[in-house]
Amino acid sequence: MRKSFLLGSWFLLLGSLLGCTAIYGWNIHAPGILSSEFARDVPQAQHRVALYVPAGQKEYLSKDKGTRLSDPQIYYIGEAYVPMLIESFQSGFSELILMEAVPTPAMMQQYGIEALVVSEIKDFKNRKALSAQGLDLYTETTVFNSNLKLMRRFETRGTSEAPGTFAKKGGLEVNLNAAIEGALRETVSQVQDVLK
Amino acid sequence: MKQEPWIKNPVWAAFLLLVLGPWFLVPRGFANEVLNSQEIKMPNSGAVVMVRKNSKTGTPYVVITDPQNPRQDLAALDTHKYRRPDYRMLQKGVSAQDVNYNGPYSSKKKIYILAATLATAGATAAIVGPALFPAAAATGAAGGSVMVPAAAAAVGGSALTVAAKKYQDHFQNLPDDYNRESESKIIETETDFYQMYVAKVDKRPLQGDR
Repeated sequence: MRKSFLLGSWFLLLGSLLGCTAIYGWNIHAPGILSSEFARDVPQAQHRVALYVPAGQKEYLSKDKGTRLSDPQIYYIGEAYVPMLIESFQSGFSELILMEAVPTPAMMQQYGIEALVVSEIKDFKNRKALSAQGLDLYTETTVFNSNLKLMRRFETRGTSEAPGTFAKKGGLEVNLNAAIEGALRETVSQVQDVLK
Repeated sequence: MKQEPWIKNPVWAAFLLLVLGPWFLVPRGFANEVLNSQEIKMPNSGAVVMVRKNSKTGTPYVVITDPQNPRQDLAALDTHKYRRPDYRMLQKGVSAQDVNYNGPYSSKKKIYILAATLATAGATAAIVGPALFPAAAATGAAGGSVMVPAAAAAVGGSALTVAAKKYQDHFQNLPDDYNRESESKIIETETDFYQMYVAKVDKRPLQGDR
Protein backbone atom coordinates (compact mmCIF):
# COMPACT_ATOMS: atom_id res chain seq x y z
CA MET A 1 0.00 0.00 0.00
CA ARG A 2 2.76 2.39 1.04
CA LYS A 3 4.88 1.33 -1.94
CA SER A 4 2.07 2.07 -4.38
CA PHE A 5 1.49 5.45 -2.69
CA LEU A 6 5.18 6.37 -3.19
CA LEU A 7 5.05 5.22 -6.81
CA GLY A 8 1.91 7.31 -7.35
CA SER A 9 3.62 10.35 -5.84
CA TRP A 10 6.53 9.96 -8.23
CA PHE A 11 4.14 9.84 -11.15
CA LEU A 12 2.36 12.95 -9.83
CA LEU A 13 5.67 14.81 -9.59
CA LEU A 14 6.71 13.72 -13.06
CA GLY A 15 3.33 14.68 -14.46
CA SER A 16 3.44 18.10 -12.88
CA LEU A 17 6.92 18.73 -14.30
CA LEU A 18 5.75 17.73 -17.77
CA GLY A 19 2.76 20.01 -17.35
CA CYS A 20 5.07 22.87 -16.35
CA THR A 21 7.16 22.39 -19.44
CA ALA A 22 4.10 22.42 -21.65
CA ILE A 23 2.66 25.60 -20.22
CA TYR A 24 5.73 27.53 -19.13
CA GLY A 25 7.62 29.14 -21.95
CA TRP A 26 7.19 30.96 -25.19
CA ASN A 27 5.66 29.68 -28.40
CA ILE A 28 6.77 32.10 -31.08
CA HIS A 29 4.75 32.22 -34.30
CA ALA A 30 5.81 34.96 -36.71
CA PRO A 31 3.12 36.79 -38.70
CA GLY A 32 4.48 35.12 -41.86
CA ILE A 33 3.97 38.10 -44.15
CA LEU A 34 6.52 40.47 -45.67
CA SER A 35 6.71 44.09 -44.64
CA SER A 36 5.89 46.79 -47.17
CA GLU A 37 9.62 47.59 -47.30
CA PHE A 38 10.31 44.42 -49.28
CA ALA A 39 8.37 45.37 -52.41
CA ARG A 40 9.82 48.87 -52.20
CA ASP A 41 13.45 47.77 -51.87
CA VAL A 42 13.50 44.71 -54.15
CA PRO A 43 12.38 45.62 -57.68
CA GLN A 44 10.51 43.03 -59.72
CA ALA A 45 12.43 41.21 -62.47
CA GLN A 46 10.75 40.02 -65.68
CA HIS A 47 11.42 36.28 -65.52
CA ARG A 48 9.41 33.11 -65.24
CA VAL A 49 10.85 31.13 -62.38
CA ALA A 50 9.75 28.01 -60.56
CA LEU A 51 10.10 27.45 -56.85
CA TYR A 52 10.53 24.04 -55.28
CA VAL A 53 10.14 23.71 -51.51
CA PRO A 54 11.65 20.47 -50.17
CA ALA A 55 9.50 18.46 -47.80
CA GLY A 56 9.82 19.22 -44.09
CA GLN A 57 10.49 22.97 -44.45
CA LYS A 58 7.13 24.00 -43.07
CA GLU A 59 7.70 21.93 -39.92
CA TYR A 60 11.11 23.42 -39.17
CA LEU A 61 11.28 24.70 -35.61
CA SER A 62 13.96 25.63 -33.13
CA LYS A 63 14.11 25.34 -29.35
CA ASP A 64 17.25 27.44 -29.09
CA LYS A 65 16.60 29.53 -25.99
CA GLY A 66 19.80 31.52 -26.21
CA THR A 67 21.15 31.01 -22.73
CA ARG A 68 21.05 28.12 -20.32
CA LEU A 69 18.91 29.97 -17.79
CA SER A 70 16.35 31.36 -20.23
CA ASP A 71 12.72 30.28 -20.34
CA PRO A 72 11.91 27.51 -22.81
CA GLN A 73 11.23 28.91 -26.26
CA ILE A 74 9.95 27.32 -29.43
CA TYR A 75 10.39 29.24 -32.66
CA TYR A 76 8.04 28.01 -35.38
CA ILE A 77 10.23 29.14 -38.25
CA GLY A 78 9.05 26.94 -41.11
CA GLU A 79 5.37 27.82 -40.87
CA ALA A 80 6.25 31.49 -41.49
CA TYR A 81 9.18 30.88 -43.84
CA VAL A 82 7.23 28.96 -46.50
CA PRO A 83 4.46 31.53 -47.13
CA MET A 84 7.02 34.35 -46.96
CA LEU A 85 9.24 32.53 -49.45
CA ILE A 86 6.34 32.20 -51.88
CA GLU A 87 5.37 35.83 -51.35
CA SER A 88 8.93 37.07 -51.85
CA PHE A 89 9.17 35.32 -55.22
CA GLN A 90 5.73 36.59 -56.20
CA SER A 91 6.98 40.07 -55.45
CA GLY A 92 10.47 39.66 -56.94
CA PHE A 93 9.54 38.02 -60.25
CA SER A 94 6.86 38.71 -62.82
CA GLU A 95 5.85 35.03 -63.11
CA LEU A 96 6.13 32.47 -60.33
CA ILE A 97 5.29 28.79 -60.60
CA LEU A 98 5.30 26.71 -57.45
CA MET A 99 6.53 23.22 -58.26
CA GLU A 100 4.79 20.68 -56.10
CA ALA A 101 5.57 17.90 -58.56
CA VAL A 102 9.22 16.84 -58.81
CA PRO A 103 10.41 18.83 -61.82
CA THR A 104 11.99 17.31 -64.93
CA PRO A 105 13.86 19.04 -67.78
CA ALA A 106 10.96 18.14 -70.09
CA MET A 107 8.52 19.82 -67.73
CA MET A 108 10.72 22.91 -67.47
CA GLN A 109 10.84 23.23 -71.27
CA GLN A 110 7.18 22.42 -71.71
CA TYR A 111 6.16 25.32 -69.48
CA GLY A 112 8.94 27.66 -70.62
CA ILE A 113 10.49 28.03 -67.17
CA GLU A 114 13.86 29.77 -67.12
CA ALA A 115 15.08 28.65 -63.72
CA LEU A 116 14.21 26.43 -60.83
CA VAL A 117 14.94 27.72 -57.33
CA VAL A 118 15.19 25.40 -54.33
CA SER A 119 15.44 27.07 -50.94
CA GLU A 120 15.95 25.42 -47.55
CA ILE A 121 16.40 26.54 -43.96
CA LYS A 122 19.81 25.44 -42.73
CA ASP A 123 20.22 26.85 -39.25
CA PHE A 124 18.78 29.20 -36.68
CA LYS A 125 20.52 30.97 -33.83
CA ASN A 126 19.05 32.84 -30.90
CA ARG A 127 21.57 35.27 -29.40
CA LYS A 128 19.70 36.28 -26.32
CA ALA A 129 21.26 38.76 -23.94
CA LEU A 130 19.88 40.46 -20.89
CA SER A 131 18.71 43.58 -22.69
CA ALA A 132 18.44 42.48 -26.31
CA GLN A 133 17.80 39.56 -28.57
CA GLY A 134 19.44 38.76 -31.90
CA LEU A 135 18.04 36.14 -34.23
CA ASP A 136 20.00 34.69 -37.16
CA LEU A 137 18.38 32.60 -39.87
CA TYR A 138 20.61 30.75 -42.31
CA THR A 139 19.22 29.40 -45.56
CA GLU A 140 20.72 27.64 -48.55
CA THR A 141 19.38 28.19 -52.05
CA THR A 142 20.23 26.47 -55.30
CA VAL A 143 19.32 27.78 -58.75
CA PHE A 144 19.06 25.39 -61.69
CA ASN A 145 18.58 26.17 -65.39
CA SER A 146 15.87 24.66 -67.58
CA ASN A 147 17.93 21.47 -67.94
CA LEU A 148 18.13 21.29 -64.13
CA LYS A 149 21.86 21.92 -64.20
CA LEU A 150 23.39 24.08 -61.52
CA MET A 151 23.54 27.83 -62.11
CA ARG A 152 24.35 29.05 -58.61
CA ARG A 153 24.26 27.86 -55.04
CA PHE A 154 24.44 30.28 -52.16
CA GLU A 155 23.90 30.70 -48.46
CA THR A 156 22.09 33.62 -46.90
CA ARG A 157 21.88 35.03 -43.42
CA GLY A 158 19.08 37.22 -42.15
CA THR A 159 19.62 38.89 -38.80
CA SER A 160 17.37 40.97 -36.64
CA GLU A 161 18.60 42.37 -33.37
CA ALA A 162 16.42 44.44 -31.08
CA PRO A 163 16.23 45.45 -27.43
CA GLY A 164 13.33 44.57 -25.15
CA THR A 165 11.63 42.06 -27.41
CA PHE A 166 10.45 39.90 -24.52
CA ALA A 167 8.80 42.84 -22.79
CA LYS A 168 6.93 43.97 -25.88
CA LYS A 169 3.71 42.49 -27.22
CA GLY A 170 4.62 40.82 -30.50
CA GLY A 171 8.31 41.73 -30.09
CA LEU A 172 9.60 38.19 -30.45
CA GLU A 173 7.30 37.41 -33.33
CA VAL A 174 8.20 40.51 -35.33
CA ASN A 175 11.90 39.99 -34.59
CA LEU A 176 11.64 36.49 -36.08
CA ASN A 177 9.69 37.84 -39.06
CA ALA A 178 12.40 40.44 -39.69
CA ALA A 179 15.16 37.80 -39.61
CA ILE A 180 13.27 35.64 -42.14
CA GLU A 181 12.63 38.65 -44.37
CA GLY A 182 16.34 39.54 -44.29
CA ALA A 183 17.30 36.09 -45.55
CA LEU A 184 14.61 36.20 -48.27
CA ARG A 185 15.71 39.64 -49.41
CA GLU A 186 19.17 38.21 -50.14
CA THR A 187 17.71 35.09 -51.74
CA VAL A 188 15.59 36.99 -54.26
CA SER A 189 18.41 39.44 -55.03
CA GLN A 190 20.85 36.59 -55.72
CA VAL A 191 18.40 34.78 -58.02
CA GLN A 192 17.70 38.01 -59.89
CA ASP A 193 21.46 38.44 -60.29
CA VAL A 194 21.88 34.93 -61.74
CA LEU A 195 19.17 35.52 -64.33
CA LYS A 196 20.52 38.89 -65.53
CA MET B 1 9.86 43.40 -130.68
CA LYS B 2 7.71 44.24 -127.72
CA GLN B 3 8.68 42.37 -124.49
CA GLU B 4 6.79 41.85 -121.23
CA PRO B 5 8.01 44.21 -118.39
CA TRP B 6 9.21 41.36 -116.15
CA ILE B 7 11.38 39.95 -118.95
CA LYS B 8 12.88 43.39 -119.59
CA ASN B 9 14.13 43.74 -116.04
CA PRO B 10 16.45 40.81 -115.05
CA VAL B 11 16.46 41.85 -111.35
CA TRP B 12 12.70 41.66 -111.18
CA ALA B 13 12.76 38.29 -112.90
CA ALA B 14 15.31 36.88 -110.46
CA PHE B 15 13.20 38.08 -107.54
CA LEU B 16 10.11 36.34 -108.82
CA LEU B 17 12.03 33.14 -109.43
CA LEU B 18 13.68 33.00 -106.00
CA VAL B 19 10.69 34.01 -103.88
CA LEU B 20 7.74 32.50 -105.64
CA GLY B 21 9.52 29.39 -106.98
CA PRO B 22 9.95 27.59 -103.64
CA TRP B 23 6.40 28.45 -102.68
CA PHE B 24 5.11 26.40 -105.61
CA LEU B 25 7.59 23.59 -104.95
CA VAL B 26 6.76 23.07 -101.25
CA PRO B 27 3.73 20.82 -100.70
CA ARG B 28 0.69 22.46 -99.17
CA GLY B 29 0.44 22.07 -95.34
CA PHE B 30 4.14 21.28 -94.89
CA ALA B 31 4.80 24.20 -92.51
CA ASN B 32 1.86 23.32 -90.31
CA GLU B 33 2.97 19.72 -90.05
CA VAL B 34 6.40 20.79 -88.78
CA LEU B 35 4.88 22.92 -85.99
CA ASN B 36 2.39 20.27 -84.99
CA SER B 37 5.02 17.55 -84.83
CA GLN B 38 6.99 19.60 -82.26
CA GLU B 39 3.95 19.89 -80.07
CA ILE B 40 3.16 16.21 -80.34
CA LYS B 41 6.70 15.20 -79.37
CA MET B 42 6.42 16.87 -75.93
CA PRO B 43 6.27 14.18 -73.26
CA ASN B 44 3.28 13.96 -71.00
CA SER B 45 4.57 14.61 -67.45
CA GLY B 46 1.28 13.77 -65.74
CA ALA B 47 1.47 17.06 -63.85
CA VAL B 48 -1.57 19.22 -63.35
CA VAL B 49 -1.53 23.00 -63.54
CA MET B 50 -3.69 24.84 -61.07
CA VAL B 51 -3.98 28.26 -59.47
CA ARG B 52 -3.68 28.75 -55.74
CA LYS B 53 -3.84 31.88 -53.63
CA ASN B 54 -1.15 32.97 -51.22
CA SER B 55 -2.58 32.08 -47.81
CA LYS B 56 -1.57 35.44 -46.32
CA THR B 57 -2.02 37.96 -49.11
CA GLY B 58 -4.59 36.31 -51.36
CA THR B 59 -2.40 36.93 -54.43
CA PRO B 60 -2.79 34.04 -56.91
CA TYR B 61 0.10 31.98 -58.28
CA VAL B 62 0.45 28.99 -60.57
CA VAL B 63 1.10 25.55 -59.09
CA ILE B 64 2.25 22.49 -60.99
CA THR B 65 1.27 19.53 -58.91
CA ASP B 66 1.39 15.78 -59.16
CA PRO B 67 -2.11 14.36 -58.60
CA GLN B 68 -0.59 11.01 -57.60
CA ASN B 69 1.54 12.59 -54.89
CA PRO B 70 0.03 15.94 -53.79
CA ARG B 71 1.91 18.15 -51.32
CA GLN B 72 -0.52 18.56 -48.45
CA ASP B 73 1.99 20.66 -46.50
CA LEU B 74 2.03 23.38 -49.15
CA ALA B 75 -1.69 23.26 -49.77
CA ALA B 76 -2.54 23.89 -46.11
CA LEU B 77 -0.54 26.93 -45.06
CA ASP B 78 -1.50 29.23 -42.21
CA THR B 79 -4.42 31.39 -43.34
CA HIS B 80 -4.49 33.96 -40.54
CA LYS B 81 -4.67 37.40 -42.08
CA TYR B 82 -2.41 39.91 -40.37
CA ARG B 83 -1.43 43.43 -41.24
CA ARG B 84 2.05 43.75 -42.74
CA PRO B 85 4.54 44.14 -39.90
CA ASP B 86 6.21 47.47 -39.32
CA TYR B 87 9.71 46.84 -38.05
CA ARG B 88 9.88 50.23 -36.40
CA MET B 89 8.12 48.55 -33.48
CA LEU B 90 11.40 46.77 -32.69
CA GLN B 91 12.97 50.07 -31.78
CA LYS B 92 13.25 50.92 -28.16
CA GLY B 93 10.28 52.85 -26.88
CA VAL B 94 7.92 51.92 -29.72
CA SER B 95 5.09 49.60 -28.81
CA ALA B 96 2.88 47.31 -30.88
CA GLN B 97 0.02 49.78 -30.54
CA ASP B 98 2.11 52.57 -32.03
CA VAL B 99 2.30 50.71 -35.34
CA ASN B 100 -1.10 49.00 -35.07
CA TYR B 101 0.39 45.52 -34.82
CA ASN B 102 -2.31 42.85 -34.96
CA GLY B 103 -0.15 39.74 -35.40
CA PRO B 104 0.43 36.78 -33.09
CA TYR B 105 2.14 37.16 -29.74
CA SER B 106 3.29 35.11 -26.79
CA SER B 107 3.10 36.46 -23.29
CA LYS B 108 4.12 35.77 -19.72
CA LYS B 109 0.49 35.27 -18.79
CA LYS B 110 1.02 31.56 -19.29
CA ILE B 111 3.14 31.60 -16.19
CA TYR B 112 0.31 33.12 -14.17
CA ILE B 113 -2.10 30.53 -15.55
CA LEU B 114 0.30 27.83 -14.39
CA ALA B 115 0.54 29.37 -10.94
CA ALA B 116 -3.23 29.71 -10.66
CA THR B 117 -3.78 26.16 -11.85
CA LEU B 118 -1.31 24.71 -9.40
CA ALA B 119 -2.70 26.78 -6.54
CA THR B 120 -6.32 25.84 -7.14
CA ALA B 121 -6.11 22.32 -8.48
CA GLY B 122 -3.11 21.18 -6.45
CA ALA B 123 -1.72 17.78 -7.17
CA THR B 124 -4.72 16.68 -9.23
CA ALA B 125 -3.60 19.12 -11.89
CA ALA B 126 -0.60 16.96 -12.46
CA ILE B 127 -2.74 14.04 -13.56
CA VAL B 128 -4.82 15.98 -16.04
CA GLY B 129 -2.00 18.37 -16.84
CA PRO B 130 -0.78 17.11 -20.18
CA ALA B 131 -4.32 17.07 -21.55
CA LEU B 132 -5.61 20.24 -19.93
CA PHE B 133 -2.62 22.57 -19.94
CA PRO B 134 -2.12 23.04 -23.69
CA ALA B 135 -5.72 24.20 -24.00
CA ALA B 136 -5.25 26.57 -21.09
CA ALA B 137 -2.02 27.85 -22.60
CA ALA B 138 -3.67 28.48 -25.94
CA THR B 139 -6.52 30.36 -24.27
CA GLY B 140 -4.03 32.41 -22.32
CA ALA B 141 -2.05 33.31 -25.41
CA ALA B 142 -5.04 34.29 -27.44
CA GLY B 143 -7.21 36.02 -24.89
CA GLY B 144 -4.81 36.67 -22.05
CA SER B 145 -5.74 40.29 -21.72
CA VAL B 146 -8.94 39.20 -19.97
CA MET B 147 -6.85 38.74 -16.86
CA VAL B 148 -5.91 42.41 -16.78
CA PRO B 149 -8.23 44.38 -14.48
CA ALA B 150 -10.63 46.57 -16.42
CA ALA B 151 -9.52 49.78 -14.68
CA ALA B 152 -5.87 49.11 -15.40
CA ALA B 153 -6.69 48.39 -19.01
CA ALA B 154 -8.58 51.66 -19.32
CA VAL B 155 -5.70 53.63 -17.81
CA GLY B 156 -3.22 51.75 -19.96
CA GLY B 157 -5.32 52.43 -23.05
CA SER B 158 -5.33 56.19 -22.58
CA ALA B 159 -1.61 56.21 -21.79
CA LEU B 160 -0.93 54.28 -24.97
CA THR B 161 -2.96 56.72 -27.00
CA VAL B 162 -0.80 59.55 -25.71
CA ALA B 163 2.35 57.53 -26.37
CA ALA B 164 1.19 56.70 -29.89
CA LYS B 165 0.69 60.36 -30.66
CA LYS B 166 4.07 61.19 -29.19
CA TYR B 167 5.81 58.68 -31.44
CA GLN B 168 3.81 59.69 -34.46
CA ASP B 169 5.34 63.11 -34.02
CA HIS B 170 8.86 61.96 -33.30
CA PHE B 171 9.28 58.71 -35.25
CA GLN B 172 12.23 60.09 -37.14
CA ASN B 173 14.18 60.99 -34.01
CA LEU B 174 14.19 57.60 -32.33
CA PRO B 175 17.49 56.20 -31.08
CA ASP B 176 19.16 53.93 -33.61
CA ASP B 177 19.28 50.84 -31.40
CA TYR B 178 17.70 48.35 -33.75
CA ASN B 179 19.83 46.40 -36.17
CA ARG B 180 18.86 44.38 -39.24
CA GLU B 181 21.39 42.74 -41.49
CA SER B 182 21.36 40.33 -44.37
CA GLU B 183 24.16 38.82 -46.39
CA SER B 184 24.77 36.03 -48.85
CA LYS B 185 27.75 34.12 -50.14
CA ILE B 186 28.07 31.87 -53.16
CA ILE B 187 28.94 28.22 -52.56
CA GLU B 188 31.20 26.71 -55.21
CA THR B 189 29.90 23.26 -56.03
CA GLU B 190 29.10 20.90 -58.87
CA THR B 191 25.73 19.25 -58.67
CA ASP B 192 22.35 18.95 -60.31
CA PHE B 193 18.80 18.81 -59.07
CA TYR B 194 18.56 15.02 -58.96
CA GLN B 195 21.73 14.56 -56.95
CA MET B 196 20.57 17.08 -54.39
CA TYR B 197 16.87 16.54 -53.97
CA VAL B 198 15.79 13.27 -55.52
CA ALA B 199 18.67 10.84 -54.96
CA LYS B 200 19.39 11.84 -51.38
CA VAL B 201 17.45 10.37 -48.49
CA ASP B 202 14.85 12.73 -47.03
CA LYS B 203 16.11 14.32 -43.86
CA ARG B 204 13.84 15.10 -40.97
CA PRO B 205 13.45 18.79 -40.11
CA LEU B 206 16.39 20.08 -38.18
CA GLN B 207 15.90 21.29 -34.66
CA GLY B 208 18.25 23.53 -32.81
CA ASP B 209 18.56 22.89 -29.08
CA ARG B 210 20.67 24.53 -26.50
